[in-house]
Amino acid sequence: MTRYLPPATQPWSRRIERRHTPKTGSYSSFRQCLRWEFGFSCAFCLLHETDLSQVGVEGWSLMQAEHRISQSDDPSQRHIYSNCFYICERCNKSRGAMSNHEHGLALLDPCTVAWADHFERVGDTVRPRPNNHSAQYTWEIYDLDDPSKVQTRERRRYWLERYAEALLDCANLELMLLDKAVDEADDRDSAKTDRRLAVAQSLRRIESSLLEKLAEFSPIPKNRSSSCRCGRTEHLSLFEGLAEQTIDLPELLTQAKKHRKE
Amino acid sequence: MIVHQQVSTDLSPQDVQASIDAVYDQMRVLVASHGGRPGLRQALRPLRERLRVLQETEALQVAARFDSHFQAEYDAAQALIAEARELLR
Repeated sequence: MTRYLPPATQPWSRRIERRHTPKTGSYSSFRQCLRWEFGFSCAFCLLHETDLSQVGVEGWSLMQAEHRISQSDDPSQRHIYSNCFYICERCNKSRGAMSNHEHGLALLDPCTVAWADHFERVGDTVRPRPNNHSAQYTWEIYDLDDPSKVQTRERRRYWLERYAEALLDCANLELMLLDKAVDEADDRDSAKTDRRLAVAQSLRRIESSLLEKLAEFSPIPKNRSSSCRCGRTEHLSLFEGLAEQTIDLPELLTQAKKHRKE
Repeated sequence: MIVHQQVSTDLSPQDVQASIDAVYDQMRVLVASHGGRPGLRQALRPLRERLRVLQETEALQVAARFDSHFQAEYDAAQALIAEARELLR
């Protein structure tokens, strides 16, 4: 069954366990491993490729490789896979060439710690947990809540919820119109019956086009590579911290119903 | 260095990106040239403010990009939903 990104991605509930073991080479050759390893998401601010471009991020530098130990701090770490993270351009720009530690504070590593232990989602922001100085430092260095990141999270949530509600309405109204058209088919106003059937049919069609657009929120993008530098395929899957958050259509519609009642 | 300039709402996304890059470059030059002397935070502050203004402009562009991509199908669905409700009366 098709699965979708959640309207609001929560900080990863567990550390991202590296499964890829690419052959040595330039760090740029690790890209497909990194995309899969980090669930096509920025390891730090949680934005997904599809949040950044509906036509795919490849070739646009919107998602990049980040060196935890910066190239200026230790050039020998430049092409070491375990030092590379998948990160959005905004987080990468924000960090710049900053070191991964300063004044006794160190940047948190999502492959070592569960992000949820250090950050919490509050509305469309990702806040450091109270009195967590390393989280605060990481939050500042990567500017995890810069206005454009917050807006991007808000828009994904907004459109996923609106589309789910519209789908729910279309499906319910289609059935109701169909019932009414059949129940009142013997009435004199056949034009009205015909109109009801026509609109029911149009609702069916628009459901398909809404679903097609929703498919853009797939956690595994259409343009993913089916191979990476590891040369194996068994680990071409989402890491657990993201996989456990993806939802199927019935869940999305149930959430929309609940959201509407509230 | 112009740091307090208002950001024009007419800037294209590419212009905003280039301006953000330019501010980051200025920040990095400042950090590199400061040589660990005190007062760096104060010196960076106006650039930080400039960056925020640009990021807010970028945020508006993000919203516009999402909306232009998803609005049409949604509006078409809403029009049909309204018509269906009317026909059910």
